[in-house]
Amino acid sequence: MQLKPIDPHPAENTGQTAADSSSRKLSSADVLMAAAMALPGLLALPAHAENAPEGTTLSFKYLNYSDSQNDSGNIAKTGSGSRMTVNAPALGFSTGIGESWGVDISGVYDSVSGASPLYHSTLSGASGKGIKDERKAADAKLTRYFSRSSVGFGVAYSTEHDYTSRAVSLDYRIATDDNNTTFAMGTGYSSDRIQDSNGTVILFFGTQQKKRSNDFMVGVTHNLTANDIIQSNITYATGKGYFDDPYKQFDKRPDSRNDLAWLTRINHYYNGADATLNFTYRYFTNSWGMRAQTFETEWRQQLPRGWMVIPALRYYTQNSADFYSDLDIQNTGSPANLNTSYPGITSTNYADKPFYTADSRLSAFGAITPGFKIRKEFSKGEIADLKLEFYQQRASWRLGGEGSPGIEPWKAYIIQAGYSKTF
Amino acid sequence: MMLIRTLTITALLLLAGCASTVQPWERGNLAKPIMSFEPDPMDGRFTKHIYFSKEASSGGYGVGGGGCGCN
Repeated sequence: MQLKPIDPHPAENTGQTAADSSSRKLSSADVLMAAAMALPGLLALPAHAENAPEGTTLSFKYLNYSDSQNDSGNIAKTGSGSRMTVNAPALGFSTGIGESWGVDISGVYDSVSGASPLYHSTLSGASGKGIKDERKAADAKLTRYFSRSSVGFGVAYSTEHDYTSRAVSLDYRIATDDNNTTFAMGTGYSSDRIQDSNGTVILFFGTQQKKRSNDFMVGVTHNLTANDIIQSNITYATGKGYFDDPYKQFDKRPDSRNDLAWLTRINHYYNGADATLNFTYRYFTNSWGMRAQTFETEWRQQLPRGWMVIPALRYYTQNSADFYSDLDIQNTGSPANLNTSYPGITSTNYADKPFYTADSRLSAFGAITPGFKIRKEFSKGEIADLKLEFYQQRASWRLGGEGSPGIEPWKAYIIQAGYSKTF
Repeated sequence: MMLIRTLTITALLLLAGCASTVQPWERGNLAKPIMSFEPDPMDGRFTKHIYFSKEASSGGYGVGGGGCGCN
């Protein structure tokens, strides 16, 4: 499951109910409240805890992604190590219908080309020559807003030549009487089909396979102080079906997986600097014996004339899956060997193992991403932005010990350019 | 057990949180767009998609994204 936020504008939780008082007789408290509302900076606050989007926003984002890693099977270490390249334009549309309804629609077209490792960081001959694929995905969400709560219903569809996913979701949010706390809960279901490809060689594949997932979330957003807001969410996903990677050699995974993620994030506003410091921490664990931690921070600095700069840093660490097999360094270096013997699995233990993988994404490693984003808000609701990130995975960066041996460092450049206009 | 522990801690966090009261007229800063947890949803979506494709963990943000052959 790829999870997406159900809470795109949690700052709106901070809204007022006092402005609703026009239908009641004015009391002195109302007058005081009205006076408070007239203070600079407060006028734009939403009148309800939950608000439909004001106006219509059209947004466009373009992603360019390219990664590289030395091929462990290429003894001479020739070539650039270039692997996958992704170019993806995306369109988003968001609008409010009256005061009670909101609609969000988005679509993306991914064009993917390049090669991914057959196992560990080895491409191995013809199979490493690469793939060319495209992915089209779209999702839509309808939200009904009430004075203190909202209900959202979403659908999502994604298709590639060898993979199709259909998903639905339902979420509910409700604010407390004082509007300082909002509770969120949600559930989602996805049904995925993994089909045989046309033209591209899928190496280790049977007939069409299926995967089904249910996910659940509970969360709370709370105003801690006049300058601090905190959110904590727990999501639990349970999936059944085909989890193997059909493009990897010697990949046999359990047919179920349960994931638990606990994410907490806090934003602090600095009055003097007119800036926000964000910090996010996520703990993750699943039924494959994996544990991972993510630490993210970013500084959003507003500057004169609508400019904003956002430096960011992310650190990620994970251990390996229970059934991950380390690279047996003595067995590598001879590509002729590779189809008959599995590196890391010896004749003594191979037959006993019900599950095994050499997918480096299930290995133990750490990763660091520095990023920088620049954004300019023009008049009339026009925003343009550019973001650059450099993402790097290394076994030795794993928190509290060495990562999986024998995997080459892996690097990616991520560029995003965006433009949006609110009417 | 992890789940129970996590839920307990979150419940405690909630209770502790309820003790504080930010008055309506004190929420001007909190309502600013830069105080949003998802200031750029499309950026967030791309970023989560990339990490979902290249790392073993995901989740924590919400529900309903659907799957992909990238993982």
